[in-house]
Amino acid sequence: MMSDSLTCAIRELRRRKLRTATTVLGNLLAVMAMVMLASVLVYSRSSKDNVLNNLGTHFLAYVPAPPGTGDAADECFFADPARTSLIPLSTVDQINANKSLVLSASGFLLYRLKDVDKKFVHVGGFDPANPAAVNGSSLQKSDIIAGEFIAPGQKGVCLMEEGFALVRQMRIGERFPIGNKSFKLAGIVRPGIRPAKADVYIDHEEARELISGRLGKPLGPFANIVIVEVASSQIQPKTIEWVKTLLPGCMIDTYACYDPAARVMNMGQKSIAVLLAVIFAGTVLLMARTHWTAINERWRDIGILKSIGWTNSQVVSQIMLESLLQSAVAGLLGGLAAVIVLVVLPLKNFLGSEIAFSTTSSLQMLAAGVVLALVTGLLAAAGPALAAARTTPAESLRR
Amino acid sequence: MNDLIYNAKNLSKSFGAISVLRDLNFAAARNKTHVIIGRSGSGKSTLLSLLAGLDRPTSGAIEFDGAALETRCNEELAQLRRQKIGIIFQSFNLLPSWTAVENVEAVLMHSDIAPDARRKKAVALLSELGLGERLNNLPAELSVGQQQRVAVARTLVNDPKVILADEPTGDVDPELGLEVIKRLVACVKNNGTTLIIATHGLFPLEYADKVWELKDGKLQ
Repeated sequence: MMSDSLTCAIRELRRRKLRTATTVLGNLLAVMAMVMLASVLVYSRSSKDNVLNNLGTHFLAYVPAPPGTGDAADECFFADPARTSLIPLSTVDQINANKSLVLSASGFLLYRLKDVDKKFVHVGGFDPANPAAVNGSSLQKSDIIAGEFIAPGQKGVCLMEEGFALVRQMRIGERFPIGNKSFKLAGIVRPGIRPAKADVYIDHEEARELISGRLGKPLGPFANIVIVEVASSQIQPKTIEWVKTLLPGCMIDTYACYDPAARVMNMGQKSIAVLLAVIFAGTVLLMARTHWTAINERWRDIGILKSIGWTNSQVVSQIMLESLLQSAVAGLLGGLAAVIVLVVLPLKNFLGSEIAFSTTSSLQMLAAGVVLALVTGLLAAAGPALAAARTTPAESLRR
Repeated sequence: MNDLIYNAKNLSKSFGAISVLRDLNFAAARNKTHVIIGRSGSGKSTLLSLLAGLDRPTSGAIEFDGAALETRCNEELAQLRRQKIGIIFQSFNLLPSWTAVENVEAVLMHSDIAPDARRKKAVALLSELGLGERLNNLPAELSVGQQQRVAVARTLVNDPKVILADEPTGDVDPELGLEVIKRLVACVKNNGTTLIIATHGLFPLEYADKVWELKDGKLQ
């Protein structure tokens, strides 16, 4: 019996080509729009999440020196503006070992010393091989404005802050004396506003030797600042709290841009959810209208079938099958068209995103589009089909 | 078995404020040809609709084949039309996107008859009516006379107990109209069918067993 309904449904769709094409096209466009918009919104959200996760993931931790330690005119370890105590490198290693919270951590030496002219020079000792140090809050390769960055293991060279180099009239390749050594100027950097900013940056081992000379005793395995790169900005507050337990009384310097950004992003995600709901509702309504129009043209046919002995359930099942067949085709073609357009479009450049567009999410959207089309087709057809079933054959024939 | 296939009492049908049939009584004997004559708009089609179970009366009762008609549910009425009642509409009411043979076959669909068997039956009937060459034509590709013959074939294909014909000769030339009447009357004689014809025009009364006039919503 069902095969009769299917036969009649296919026959009806094939014979009424224009109406079928119009209905399929209407549904196809609705599904295509839905899949495209939803894909773009989901992709946009992923991009934002990606940005958010890498936003403000670095912070500095240092322990201020007890009050009354030293004199303002003395050479000292510092983290602007405070004098600092020293932190064992074993603590830095302990921080570094917690991979659930920390991507990497490195010790940083920031020492204020007087040069030959009795002027203060802020020397920063960092490990060029450590990503936390290089990409962290001290210095980045992208900060170079002239010359080259210090390569891991490279000795006898230094980087100089742009303003300091200008005042000291230093050029690339010239040597700059610090303490009893001189360093070849490899590059000039513009580090911008950073919590731990030095005038001159050198390799951490050379900095250790230099500072040991100034202190008159070996420095030992210590740093005065820990640079931490958090695994994700979303766990930054938790990581900071944990580091504070390892370094009692420590101070934390961070750009702290995660929280406000997260709040804005969260608002954005809610907007996306609302927008998706609106798109979904719009798609359902558009498809429902297309089906309703198609079925409303068939009142007389329905009346004829009922007058020759077709039951309501037989009439309804045929109408539903017609709608489902059209919806399935429209859903598949609409979804495919959307995926093709999305793959062809330079969406990454268009949205200014740094992550590649994922077709996986589009395929999920394609599947969602087909399901949406089928459900909508079913719901949209059910209304007029049941309405047609409720009317007497005579009423249907009179329409 | 009751001699009456139809027995309608105090039948009324209104459409809003318009009263079409008023306390109408109608009794139709089996195996006879009944002709209902009336002017256009007198309610002939409405009466046939009620007799076919296509519509429900505003009041009154219709007994068909010994059982009440108006109290049956829609599914039962559909079954009744499929098995016992054949209808020929004034405008034929063929499905426009179905071919001649498919239109005839439609009555036999959703039944226990195998697709091959019903196709064979429909083809045989259409061929008998001279449409053997037009089996796969759509109604729009057929002349009015041919469409009428398809409608007749559709009515006869399930061997109904009753044929309700609404203006069966209205849209065809007299010669063709007479041919259709003869065929329907032959069903009465050969198959024991009851024929109820509604017409506003001239009808060869020699073919009628009983003639009614529908006037002011009542049969006279």
